[in-house]
Amino acid sequence: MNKKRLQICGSIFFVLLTCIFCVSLFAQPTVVTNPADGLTNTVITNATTVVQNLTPSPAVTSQSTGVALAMIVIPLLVPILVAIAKYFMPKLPGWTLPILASLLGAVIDFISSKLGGPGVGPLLGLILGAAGVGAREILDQLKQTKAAATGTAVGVLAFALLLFGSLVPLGMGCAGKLAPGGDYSPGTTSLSTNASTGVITTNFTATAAPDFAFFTADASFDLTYSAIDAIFNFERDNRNLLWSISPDIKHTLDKLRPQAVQIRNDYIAARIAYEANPIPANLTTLQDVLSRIKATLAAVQAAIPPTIKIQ
Amino acid sequence: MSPAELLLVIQGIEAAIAAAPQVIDVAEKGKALIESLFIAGVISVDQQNATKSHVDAVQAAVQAGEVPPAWTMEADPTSK
Repeated sequence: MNKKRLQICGSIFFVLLTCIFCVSLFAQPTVVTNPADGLTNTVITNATTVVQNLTPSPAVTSQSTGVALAMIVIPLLVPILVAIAKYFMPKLPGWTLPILASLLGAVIDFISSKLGGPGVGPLLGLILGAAGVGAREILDQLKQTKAAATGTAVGVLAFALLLFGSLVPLGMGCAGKLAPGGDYSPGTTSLSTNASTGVITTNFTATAAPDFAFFTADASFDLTYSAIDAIFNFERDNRNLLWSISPDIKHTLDKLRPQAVQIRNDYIAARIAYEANPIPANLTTLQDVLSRIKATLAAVQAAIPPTIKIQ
Repeated sequence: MSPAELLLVIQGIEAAIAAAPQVIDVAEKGKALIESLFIAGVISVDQQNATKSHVDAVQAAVQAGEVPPAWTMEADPTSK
């Protein structure tokens, strides 16, 4: 298999996926606070009417479009700026380029915000800058340079760190709150009307203590299971293409598939046990299985490398 | 770039686009969890119910002995 083809294909896969991740992760919702009346997609209740305010103002729609535009423009501008930097500083070490590109993404966002244009925030600016290096690497590879596709790896790594490295452990450790009335904070709601004022009061009576740890475990499982499922499906749907790149991709995932099924079953068994008897020991078992699932996800992710680099 | 290489690149782009809906689904779940845990500080009723519903669906599949097709080992492709 031609090295250049492998590098091009691998880079394109993961630059696109990184961009898709970034856009969907940070895209602004279409329906948000309406500046005209300060309402935020809210159900307003009084004694006689229920009003649902779902109409975004033109200003909000314009802001969302601007953010989407910034997400496209930053990864395109960064490679050009990096190329200019390399022109003026030809001895710039290769390892500095991903860092430089990430910083440039944040700087572009900062300048855009200061000039009254759309802003995506410094964190997303950094990630989009890193994604821009991936685009630059594709150009380099098309020109048959020997540059390694470090940028795409950085982009994927940034996402992975953000989502799986930081989110779940912090989520488990933080003292979050569960809104009353949900499945993990069950209770009954009743309405009472003050006869003299007509004001309706909502009364909530908890039927069980909120179980934040159980919610966090289930949410982490849901996220991890979905990620593993996405990768397995991606390989299955594109098996012939990936097989032509490397049979090792399928073979590695085939080794992990029975393991993933077993761990999925273990989690469900632990979950059933915890629901029947929510004691700390059963919660610990649940969290132990969860850590094995996360290890499996890491192995599954590694089977499809961010960049396919052939010596 | 040869036609064969161009075809491979196009196939790669098609594969990434085809995978996008599922990737977006995972990203949206992550986004919702981030917002709830670290921004809003409160897990809404809707999000609690959605999470429970997803995991309950997996539990029902496990109890029925179902394994998704993509989670099973299949024969290797016959040609490269």
